[in-house]
Amino acid sequence: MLDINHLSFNRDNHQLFHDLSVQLPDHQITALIGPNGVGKSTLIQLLTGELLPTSGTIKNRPKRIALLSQHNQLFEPLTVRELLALANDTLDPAVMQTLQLDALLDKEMTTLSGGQQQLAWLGFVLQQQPDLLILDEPTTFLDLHFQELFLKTLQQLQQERQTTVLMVLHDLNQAFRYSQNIWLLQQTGNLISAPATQMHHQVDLLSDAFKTPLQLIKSADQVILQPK
Amino acid sequence: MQKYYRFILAGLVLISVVIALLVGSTTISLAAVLHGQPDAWQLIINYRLPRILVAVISGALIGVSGLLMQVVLRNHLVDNSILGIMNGSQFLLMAILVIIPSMLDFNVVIGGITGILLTIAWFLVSPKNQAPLRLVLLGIATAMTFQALTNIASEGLGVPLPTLSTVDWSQVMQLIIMTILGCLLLIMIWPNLRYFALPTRQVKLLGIAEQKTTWFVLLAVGLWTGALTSLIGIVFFLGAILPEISRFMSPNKKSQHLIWPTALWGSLLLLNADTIARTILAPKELPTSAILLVISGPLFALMLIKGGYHARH
Repeated sequence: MLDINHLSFNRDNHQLFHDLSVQLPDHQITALIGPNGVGKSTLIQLLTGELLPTSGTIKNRPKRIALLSQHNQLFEPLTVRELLALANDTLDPAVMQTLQLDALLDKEMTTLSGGQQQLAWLGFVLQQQPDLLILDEPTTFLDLHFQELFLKTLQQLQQERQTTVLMVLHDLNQAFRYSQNIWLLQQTGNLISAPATQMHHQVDLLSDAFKTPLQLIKSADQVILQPK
Repeated sequence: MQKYYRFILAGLVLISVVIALLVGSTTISLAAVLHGQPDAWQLIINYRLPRILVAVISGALIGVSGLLMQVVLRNHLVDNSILGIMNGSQFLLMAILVIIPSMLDFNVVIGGITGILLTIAWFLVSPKNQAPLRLVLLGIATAMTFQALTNIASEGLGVPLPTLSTVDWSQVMQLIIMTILGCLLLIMIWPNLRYFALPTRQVKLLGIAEQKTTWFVLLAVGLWTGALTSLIGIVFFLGAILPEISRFMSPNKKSQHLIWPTALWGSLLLLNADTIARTILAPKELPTSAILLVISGPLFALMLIKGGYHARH
């Protein structure tokens, strides 16, 4: 279990995190939420080891970490197959089938729609058979259809493989619907970790964190968070 | 057509070599060569062949250097001339030869070493993660500075600048050795090059030694650039243009598969530019680099105007 101990991080004499201690639950999806500029991407860079903490430690970092961001750049004209092969030469049939990539394999990435490209990139990170999968706002540039398709597929594959997933999301309702745990990063640099079902009802806490008055609306079988 | 493309290019290079052997301030007839006329053979072996070999090898090296540099820097607007490494190694070589004139016989080897030194210095000093165009401007500032220094030293001390017209067999051999050494460096990291299609972040997470790969490529490219500059002088923009010509001809190919066409286009352009330079106003000889710049300058401008895929990313 990824274990963050008394982590502090300063950048340009500004303290982003101070004495942060939290554990990432294994084999579950955790959604990292919080307002812009609070340091979500920085926290991810600390978890992957791209940045080193000013003080404190990150223990039990898994060997294979894969990362998918909102915008993924390619510097050569690759086909989907060539991209996937960079992660692993043998294509994983289960991944191909769930992501419906079979028909796209020999298409060039640049000829695909944004949504299809993001699914191909999801294939790329899953091909790495990661112990920890980090997704940084993976649905930001997708339309509603592909947002749902992406998250549903991710959820399905996560359940089959029991991968540990940490995912930054801006849409709070998506975060609650597709994750078991929530990490709420506050403006103060504090991180609150709680099961999604519990956090869902902390309307005041969430309103405060996003500086937006929120309310819970109960419809048929769902509970939806909305700005007042 | 794509299937025969490489062979057509290679054929064109061969035809250009034959033409270059025969034409010049003294035109040699094919019959004289075939009949084994001693005068004709002497002219070919002593003067034309070494010059042609240097042009063919240098053209190929300029193309491949540009291509590889673009791959590892993930920037399709750069080459060694644009980054100032050609001008830098020319100046450094000149300085060394002024201080130690006895090294003149090994000018290509010394040139290669100065190329490596310049490349290392450039990439240690230059800031990381630059926007593509900023890197280009930084490079051009470096190039212009060294160009001015070379001009001052050359005029002031009366040191002649290298031209293809003085090439001899010893230099050809030195250039061939430098070429092989560079190839050996590249073979060691060749399998890693395909990962440069991904952003640095992903390459690191895949556990590929990106930094080591980059340095091996830069060392090979620096060695080649220094060595060939000591023989042919500065050829601006050509290294950036050649990969672009190859990409234009086969748009869906990855850079690693463009090595041969880029090398062949380089040989073809440099050799024919040199043939034109020494024949068009014969016996007066024009500078080969000027002939090339007349072609490559506008093409580079066109590349920036068109922008296209590469300039934007």
